[in-house]
Amino acid sequence: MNCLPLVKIKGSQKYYLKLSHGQRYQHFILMTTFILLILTGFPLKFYYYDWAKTVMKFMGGPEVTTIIHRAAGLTMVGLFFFHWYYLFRNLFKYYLIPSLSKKSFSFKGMMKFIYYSPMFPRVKDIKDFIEFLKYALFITDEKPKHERFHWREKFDYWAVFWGIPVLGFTGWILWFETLSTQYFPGWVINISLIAHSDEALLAASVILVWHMYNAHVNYDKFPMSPLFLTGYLPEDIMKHEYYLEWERINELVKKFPELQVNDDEYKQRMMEYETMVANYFAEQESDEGEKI
Amino acid sequence: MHFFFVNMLILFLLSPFISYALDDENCLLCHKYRTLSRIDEKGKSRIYYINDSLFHSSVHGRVKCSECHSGITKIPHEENTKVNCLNECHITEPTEDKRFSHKNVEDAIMNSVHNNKYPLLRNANSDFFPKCTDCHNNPLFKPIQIFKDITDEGQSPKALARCNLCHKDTKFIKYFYNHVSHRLHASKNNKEIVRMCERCHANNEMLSKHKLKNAIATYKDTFHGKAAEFDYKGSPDCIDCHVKENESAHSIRSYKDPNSSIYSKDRWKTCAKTGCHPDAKPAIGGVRMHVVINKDLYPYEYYTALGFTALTLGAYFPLAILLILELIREIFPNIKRRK
Repeated sequence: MNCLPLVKIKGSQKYYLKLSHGQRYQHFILMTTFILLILTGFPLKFYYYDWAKTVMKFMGGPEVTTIIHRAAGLTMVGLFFFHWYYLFRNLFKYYLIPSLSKKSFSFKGMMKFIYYSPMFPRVKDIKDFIEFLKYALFITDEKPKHERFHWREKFDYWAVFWGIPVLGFTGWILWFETLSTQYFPGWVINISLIAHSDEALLAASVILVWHMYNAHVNYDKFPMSPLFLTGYLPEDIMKHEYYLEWERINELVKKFPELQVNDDEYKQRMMEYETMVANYFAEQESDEGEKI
Repeated sequence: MHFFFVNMLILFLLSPFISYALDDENCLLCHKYRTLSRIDEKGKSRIYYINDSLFHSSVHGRVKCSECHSGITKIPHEENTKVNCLNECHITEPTEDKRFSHKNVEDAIMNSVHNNKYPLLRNANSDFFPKCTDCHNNPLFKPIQIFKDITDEGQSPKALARCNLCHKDTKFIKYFYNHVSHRLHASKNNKEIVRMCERCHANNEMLSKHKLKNAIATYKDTFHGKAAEFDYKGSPDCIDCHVKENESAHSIRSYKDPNSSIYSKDRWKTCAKTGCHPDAKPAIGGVRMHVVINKDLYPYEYYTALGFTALTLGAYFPLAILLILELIREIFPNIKRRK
């Protein structure tokens, strides 16, 4: 969240920061590699459909797709390791270093920090899920009020968190098939193929249906949520989906008004400044004219 | 009428090219007619037309009709006269000056899994063993440009010039040239070979009679099959693995046969062919290529597939149901539950 304003006012609409630069880049890499892997992998899995040949041809034939698939897979696994680094960096930056310098470090405190980190599943998610079921089954009219990330997003996150090691490891076995037979019995290669293709189908179906629905096709956001491009969510979606976070940020902004940047005001100032500059030069020119 | 004369004129102009071929036996007297056909007892329509020029550019173009169709002696012909590929024909084999025959193929077949006397068969039912014509048709000489992806005629004039110097009969030279160049390449590509084996090895009736599994479906599920499906260069077909490199394509043997290319202890040598997995070690033989999802035969694969199917259905359907429930709730926000 380094240098982005927490709340931005633009076109008299408030926007709330959800994803930092780094998180947005991580998502972008994950998204592009995921799409490339699907485009190059699924024609192989569904070779018996006519579209498989078309997609394969479009992607450049098997000689090319093997390279794309492996490069995209490597990038995705690299991102996975980077994400681990990112998590530990955050732990150091936001808990270990401050607590050690204040000498308030405790193991329990660290566990608590991890438990309350935004993506970690917690008891509230179960409560939210039950609330959602009540809402969906017309038992209450109240929607659950969410904090920064809700149970749907956590589900996506943890699905990917478990999916990448499974797909990465089995993919690595299938890539270096002769090498892996020297360390594993033959059936490991066979089950790797099954696991790789089945896990890919699961991941793709969950992401393309569930994640796409929640993030873009959903009632509030259709046709697209700007979050993955800008990192900000407009106030109506914030209020609707992340009520508790919205409340929390508003209180924070009340306390520290410098967290909010008014783009409209800034733009106004810029325009005033521009006209000032223009006037300044115009005056100078007319002065010079008078002199001549 | 006008059309008829044009046709006649074309036929007349073409006649020198059509009628160069040998037809001592005068079979073409009748078989040149395109409509020569009948419907047999099983209701199949059978065509007896012989395209003379096409036949003469096939590998058997220099063999007389009666040398293969030896059961035919009179007109109208006898019933059920099938060709016998093991006949000796009047072509002489130049190194030994003996009459040529495909007898050696029979020896290879008798040593392979494709005959009912093979000791390692699961079920020696003689109905369903392939005869020559089940796999072989009468192939045309494929000009070399099909393999080399070049556009000019397959026969190199430079090479032909070398032959011309001593051999005078150009028809013979071209035929001999084709004879050799045809054999430098597999006459069937991967997909054609798979399609050939598929006729029996994906036929459920035959498979159940022989107590076999569908080897084609399982092959297509492996990377080998997928590579062949998408025309990946050097992808293996059935024969690449099931026949030893120095043996005839007819020598396909059971995996229990120590002479077989897929015998469990020697299988890795087949995998380790140059161009396939050259750095393979014996352990690669443990990878199974025809995995069927069956609890008893392949327990690890079975439970993995079962686990992932359960996981996929177990994750996907609840999510889909939640999604639909939410949509209904959002589309009809004002429905009240009856109390």
